[in-house]
Amino acid sequence: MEYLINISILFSIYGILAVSLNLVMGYTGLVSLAHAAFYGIGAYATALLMTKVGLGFFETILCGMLLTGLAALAIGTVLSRFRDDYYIIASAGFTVIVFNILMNWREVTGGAVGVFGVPRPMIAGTVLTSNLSFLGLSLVFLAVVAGAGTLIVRSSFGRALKIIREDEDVALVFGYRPLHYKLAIFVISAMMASVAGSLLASYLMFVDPSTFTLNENVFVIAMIVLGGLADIRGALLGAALLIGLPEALRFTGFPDDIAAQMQKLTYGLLLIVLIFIRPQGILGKFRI
Amino acid sequence: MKAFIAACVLALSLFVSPAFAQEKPVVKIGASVPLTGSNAHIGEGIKNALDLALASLPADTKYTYKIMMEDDGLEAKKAASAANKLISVDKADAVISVSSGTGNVVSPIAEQNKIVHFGIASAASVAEGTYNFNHWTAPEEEARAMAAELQKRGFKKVAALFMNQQGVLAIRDSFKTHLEGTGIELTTDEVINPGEKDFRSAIAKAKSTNPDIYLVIFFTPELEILVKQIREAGITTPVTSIEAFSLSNEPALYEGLWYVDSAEAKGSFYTDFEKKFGKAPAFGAPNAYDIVNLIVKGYETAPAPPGVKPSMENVVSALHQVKDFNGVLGPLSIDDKGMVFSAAAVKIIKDGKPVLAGTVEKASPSAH
Repeated sequence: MEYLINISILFSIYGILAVSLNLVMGYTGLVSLAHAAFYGIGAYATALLMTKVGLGFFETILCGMLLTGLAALAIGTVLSRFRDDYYIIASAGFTVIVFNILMNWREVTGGAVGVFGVPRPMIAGTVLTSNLSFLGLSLVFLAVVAGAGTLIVRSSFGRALKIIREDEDVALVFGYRPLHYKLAIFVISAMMASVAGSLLASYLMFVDPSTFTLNENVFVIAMIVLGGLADIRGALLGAALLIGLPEALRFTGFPDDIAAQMQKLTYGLLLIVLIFIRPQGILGKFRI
Repeated sequence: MKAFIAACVLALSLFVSPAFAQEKPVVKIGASVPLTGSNAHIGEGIKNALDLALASLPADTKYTYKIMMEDDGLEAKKAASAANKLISVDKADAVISVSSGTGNVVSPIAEQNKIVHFGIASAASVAEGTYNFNHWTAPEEEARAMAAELQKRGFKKVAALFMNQQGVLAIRDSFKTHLEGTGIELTTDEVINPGEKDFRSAIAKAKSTNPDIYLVIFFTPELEILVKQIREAGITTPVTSIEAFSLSNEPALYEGLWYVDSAEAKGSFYTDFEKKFGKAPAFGAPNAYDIVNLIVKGYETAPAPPGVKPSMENVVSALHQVKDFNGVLGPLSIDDKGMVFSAAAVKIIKDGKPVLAGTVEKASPSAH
């Protein structure tokens, strides 16, 4: 049971990340490699403010979102001027910068050692020590983020994002200002990713920079490509698949000596087969 | 007829007697280690060491011991899943993790589930809590040994280049503390990120301080590149390290150089390992071997009714009483913080292989 709860918590954290990235990548057509950085800023905001300042979990979530929002506004102002490959490279640069700050600003972030002993959230004087109660909280956050995402994409703002994704010049002709729309969704999405980071820090009770790398960003991109770009349910499905599949493969019963390697091989093969069958993702409405 | 009934009664009594009916309770030891990815060799070495330890157990133990492995790829989130599976699905009675990053994740999970956890990690935080233990030559011990050895050999100026990595930073902090009052000056103290390939500016900066010796703590491939670039810069000053030379792919690069290493395995561990698996034990393998024996010691000595496994509290209590246990890494004692003390060793690279160069004056385990 605890194992299933653990997988469900990881699913809810990665579900938030996948939904947030899908808003930028699936609905707006911007391949962002900056989300691992926002995820990391949220995680470190919670870890540091809880352990060093003594703030409560929910206060640190707000601080993390504020900090991430400001960072996204700053970097997004620059990024919004780019398209396609240039956008990808510039956003990757931001993740590299944040990773290096986390690694090297040892006096604050602890450097490679990270921050351990991050407390669990407390609600009405009760600390959520059990994983089941933490799962409840993380599912609430997932529901809020997925709900907000759905509202955004169904609004006129969301429709404008899709026009920008299809053709920025056409959007300009219709009177939309792509720069503002791209910046706005980037900031909203970054703040959502920060929530995922806060949850991760408190769940694992430990953070170090190794989680917030470009590899992690690519992992989340794989979730939304597999589940389906431009579909909130697709992002959730992708998160469920990429978190659940490797765990399910732990029970395949391969011989002990080669079990781990065979699980990885099977995982890779399944992903290839899935993408081969559904190149636009399982529930995808848009293909890069 | 009487004889037949007597035989039946005897057979029945044998069948229902505890000795016949009950098998030894099984103690499951789960290990969350990297079995895939760039650190898979570490996980494989640990798996082999655990198998070797299990095969070396005496037949008359009170319990049957079983090893279970899970891959964590040395990643935090995978370590959480691996530990949760081992504890809640496989019902492990004890878990083992390797590295500070994953150990810090497994540690609170073990504490929450009240399961004995042994880390093989340089971070002391891995041993925090009632149920957590750590078996790795502590960075404090290695740094102390390095400072003592430098003093013994008469070095006065050290240029130190460190990799930005958890264990290395722990050694660095401790090393700086141990240098205090020794008269040894740290002329350069530079931390460089993993992945760096060009060390020439750092070397030039260090060279300008005229050190007597360079202390470099990096892993493959950065270590090899750094040492080659030091030599290319025309520097003939000695180079030393802590642990890193033992982990290098090219030990011949450090021929004739002395360094401080984690505890040296004794007895026939190396030969038994090589005989069984056809290769030398990897990083952490002797520690994993000792951990199995320590867990067995804890279970075998913890009080429990016959045929029943002892409570976890009794196992923890038994482990805390371990003093001078005959491990392959020397006489092992567990302190009240859950740290297994093992002494650092001074080695030298001779004919491309690390050999013991001398023993370091031992610090008291309580010094930790």
